[in-house]
Amino acid sequence: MSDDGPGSPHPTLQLDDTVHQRVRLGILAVLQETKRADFSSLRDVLGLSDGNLARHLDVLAQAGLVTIAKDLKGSRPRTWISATGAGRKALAAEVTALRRLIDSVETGP
Amino acid sequence: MTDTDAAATLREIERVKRSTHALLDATWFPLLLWGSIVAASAPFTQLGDDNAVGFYWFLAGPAGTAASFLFFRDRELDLGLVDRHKVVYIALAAAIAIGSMSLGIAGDGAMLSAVGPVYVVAAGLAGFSWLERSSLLAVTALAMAAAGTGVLAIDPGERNLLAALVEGAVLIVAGVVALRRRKLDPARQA
Repeated sequence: MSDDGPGSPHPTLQLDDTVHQRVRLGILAVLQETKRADFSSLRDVLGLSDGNLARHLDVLAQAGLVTIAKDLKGSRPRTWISATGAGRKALAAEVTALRRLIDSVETGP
Repeated sequence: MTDTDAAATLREIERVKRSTHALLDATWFPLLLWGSIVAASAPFTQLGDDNAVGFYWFLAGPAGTAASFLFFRDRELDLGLVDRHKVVYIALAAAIAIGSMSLGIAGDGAMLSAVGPVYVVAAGLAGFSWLERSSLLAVTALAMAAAGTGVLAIDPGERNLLAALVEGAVLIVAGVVALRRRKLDPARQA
């Protein structure tokens, strides 16, 4: 049985408001390719300010989608960010919902 | 949200993932390093003493492994990005090192010593190409396997020398191509 039947919700309703935000999608996309990324690298790769990145990381951490850990080893302290299992699944679900949205428009109602 | 917005968002996600993947790519270093180490073993095959090549690898193998480890450790700290396949890469590199050294020793200077390690390296490169989604590494794996097969047809007296030169050259050429691609692609600049 197809998920796209008349009773299934419209793909836009399957987009998660926490994940479906440009910066937060970017953060999760970087973390999807890495085991962990430090704060400065994430900021530079995404072209964000410190404050902007910190704000969005807080949202993702509170939702349990990323973990933030301080590391004092080496010459300077670093803040490492990793996607949790839920974070990786949330990005995959977002991508699936976006693809379904495109398909639903292309194939019609 | 419109389908155009959805398509643009998907493209942006893919762009960020690709650019992160490109930043992490440093295959040029092990290819150049190990290509040089393999090619440098060539003179030792002409000393008329199988122990000479064995002694060379006894020193060069661990030295190359240590250099690779230090390079990737420093790069990880400089870049601030840790590859998600890190543990698998280490396990695969260890399997290549153990497998090729074991066949090199078990062959005792015979054909297995010359071509056995090549097939192990080719299989390892194929594994890396799959993990890295790298066509360059896939082509290098095929070239290594072809070089190993070609060496089988050569006179045994020259086999070890040509194996070292051809296989070293394949790795060095692949390393140069990887390095050049990195320099030409801004997304790969760390």
